[in-house]
Amino acid sequence: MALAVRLAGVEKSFGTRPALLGADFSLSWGEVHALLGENGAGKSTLMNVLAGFYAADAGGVEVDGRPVRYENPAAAADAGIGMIHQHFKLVGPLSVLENLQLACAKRAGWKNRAAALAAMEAMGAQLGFRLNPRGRVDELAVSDRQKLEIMKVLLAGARILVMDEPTAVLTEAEAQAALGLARQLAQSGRAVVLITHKLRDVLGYSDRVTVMRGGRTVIDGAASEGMTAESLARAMVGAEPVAPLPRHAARPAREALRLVNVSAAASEHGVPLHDVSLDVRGGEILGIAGVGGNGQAEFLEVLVGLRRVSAGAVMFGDAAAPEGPAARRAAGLRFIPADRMGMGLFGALPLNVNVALPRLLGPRPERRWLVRRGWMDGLANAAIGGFEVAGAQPGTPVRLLSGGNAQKLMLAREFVGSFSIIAAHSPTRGLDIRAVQAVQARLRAAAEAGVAVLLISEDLDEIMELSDRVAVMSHGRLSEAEPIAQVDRGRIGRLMLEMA
Amino acid sequence: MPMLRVSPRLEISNRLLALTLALGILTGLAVSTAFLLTQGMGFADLASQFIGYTLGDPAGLDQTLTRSIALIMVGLSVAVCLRVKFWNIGVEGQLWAGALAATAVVLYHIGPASLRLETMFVASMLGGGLWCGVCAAAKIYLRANEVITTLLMNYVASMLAQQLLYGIWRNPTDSYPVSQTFPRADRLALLGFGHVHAGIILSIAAALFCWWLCTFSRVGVMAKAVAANPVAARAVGVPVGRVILLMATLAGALSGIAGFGIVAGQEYKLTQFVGNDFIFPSIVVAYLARANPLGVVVASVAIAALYTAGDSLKAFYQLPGATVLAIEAVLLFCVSCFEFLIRYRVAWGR
Repeated sequence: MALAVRLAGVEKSFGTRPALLGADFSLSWGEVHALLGENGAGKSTLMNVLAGFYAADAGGVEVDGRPVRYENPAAAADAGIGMIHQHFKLVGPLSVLENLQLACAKRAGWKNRAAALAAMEAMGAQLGFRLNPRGRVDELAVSDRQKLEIMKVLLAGARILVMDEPTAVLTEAEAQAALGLARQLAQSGRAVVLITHKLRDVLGYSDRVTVMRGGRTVIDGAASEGMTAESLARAMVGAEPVAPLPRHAARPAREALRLVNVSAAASEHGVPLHDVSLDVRGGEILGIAGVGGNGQAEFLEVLVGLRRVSAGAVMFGDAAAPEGPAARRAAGLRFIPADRMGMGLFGALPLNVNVALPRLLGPRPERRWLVRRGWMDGLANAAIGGFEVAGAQPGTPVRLLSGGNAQKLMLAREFVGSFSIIAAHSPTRGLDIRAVQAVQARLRAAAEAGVAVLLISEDLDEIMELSDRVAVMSHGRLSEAEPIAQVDRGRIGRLMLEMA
Repeated sequence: MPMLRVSPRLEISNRLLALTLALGILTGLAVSTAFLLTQGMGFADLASQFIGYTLGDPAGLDQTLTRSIALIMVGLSVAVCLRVKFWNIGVEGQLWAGALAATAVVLYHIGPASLRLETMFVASMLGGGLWCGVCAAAKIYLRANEVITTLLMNYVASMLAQQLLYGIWRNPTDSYPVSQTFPRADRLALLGFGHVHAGIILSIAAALFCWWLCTFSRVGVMAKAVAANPVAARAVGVPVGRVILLMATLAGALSGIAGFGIVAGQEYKLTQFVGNDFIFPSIVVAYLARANPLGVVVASVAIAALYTAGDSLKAFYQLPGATVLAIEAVLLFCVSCFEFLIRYRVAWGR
């Protein structure tokens, strides 16, 4: 097969941080090529070099056999390279069609709205899906936004598509549809790069695979057939991945958290909670499965004390939970939000302030009149050491941490003092294998120490692996929790449908 | 082809912050100098007016320091609010409220005579604090934008002052729209250097207090969290509304003390001009100081010196009073332009 792209010995650093140390990559026409690696391995950086977002410090880029150097993303797009970013580049308040016009009118040569609409309909028919051209983009489901992104890139004339973590934000069924679409695009003669850190994406849907580790290519375009999850994982991580810890049979203690017929209003673009009841005992992990956006965010906000209940009660032990986040924290509740930079950490502030802040709150703050830098630095160093937050100093702004390290810091901030309940929402989303294992081990250890752990996750594998009991959340309702031994994936799927 | 490359910075050092501020001020001064040279002034005139007179001459220094007393207070007021991203555009109104409250204490003999000054001080804090606290409460409970409310509260206060000065507080002896002159016991002491009065001690003490509050207190750390991410702050248990209310009320009280200093230390009566021309300089001072309370002291003295020089430009070179405003604006503009360099790295390269 003819080569579409060849990248050789690409180097790139940001300031003094090297991101690529001589990476190679080749892509053929008509294939789906998986680009695999841990967080921070350099996958996205390498593809951003190809797509003209970054200029390489050294190394060569060839497209269709000719050496090229794109000064900016527009030049790369003109040459037929389209990137579908993990964070979509869409204008929320505009309609679907307006977004397409904005991005493609010039390149596609549309003179008016009708021409754009015709092109959109034709492309939709070709790809086998339909979007409402007048729908507002910020009201679209995530999977539809991704389809719009793909359509946008294709209508702008892309023949080489780079999809950055396309399945990270999708549900199981949506992910399979998206991967199927990638295959379909390759069969039509285009070349598709799938940036991912999910082994499943590689084994099921790609022709070849390139694995990166620490800014270098360690497997350069090997056939995906014949690869195993173990061989890929070893290449990605560099050593044998740590096997998950065996779980001791937990001995559930008394009920630590109880929700009795709780209803609450929806957040913006969210789902209201209807009559939610559950109980979690100390020492167990209760998994809450379900597709994202079915009330999980509201549920966590009710637990934390940010959202008022309109009916029902939240109980800690035998007593009603106190009002407000500070009092609930003091009463032993800890939380890990899905959006860790939104509801969890303070990106602009350094590590030391992030770690020290909760200790200054509540009825018994540890410091009142004199909060010394040295005291905060000590706490930060303890967190860095105790939770293996890599590459950070007490004074480093948290926004500079990678996803995995930020999550470890989040755990370090929350797993402090005496606590009896942890509510974790998608705690491993977007993390690499080692960070996932670290986070899961912490949750397990907490349960074994007698804490009531509530795990809200869209990742069924994670739910099945960690939970003692499972409940399903759908359309703001929660099914009755059942012991893990009695449920399988089919049962959970049926529960999601039955409650609709 | 070599070209200018602009890329976002990952980390921002304190040295870089200081350097960009210095560059901004120097550029602003250079532009202002060029402007004044076109207005018929020579280099020697500029040097003697701006540096020699304002800081070197006793009369000029007296004027500069006296003016800086109130400027430090209103600068702190804006700076403290900026710590929680609350835009206080209402220091004049708060200053008026403080001045009115202090004057009321004198006119109505409120409190024991031996503690009259202390009562005036507390009253001015209550007046100013109320004036800003109301706006903070409106922001927290009604989601009213504080830029609008604090701005409009300026007019409410100055209209109230006009009403009183042309009404029940009008001086009965000569019918001028000024209050009765304060008795000697109700005045702040002069410190033996021109018009500089005890208010300067209050200003410096206030700056030290704000520095402690923002840097070392529990509330200061909470304020950082509120400014950085209000959603996360609320989730972790920071009482976000109370922190904003506290900082804004404190800020209003600081402006109120400025009003007290003017009526009790400078004018010895309430006049129509007590609360004029503070909004813009207060913002310039807080911005130049990057909301650092100790920096506010330095910036206030510098801006006060600029006003002193402006007065002599008016007298000796027939330049309009707006010259000082123009120079302030140029300084602010240049400093904020150079802030681009804080966030972005600029380099020549391929």
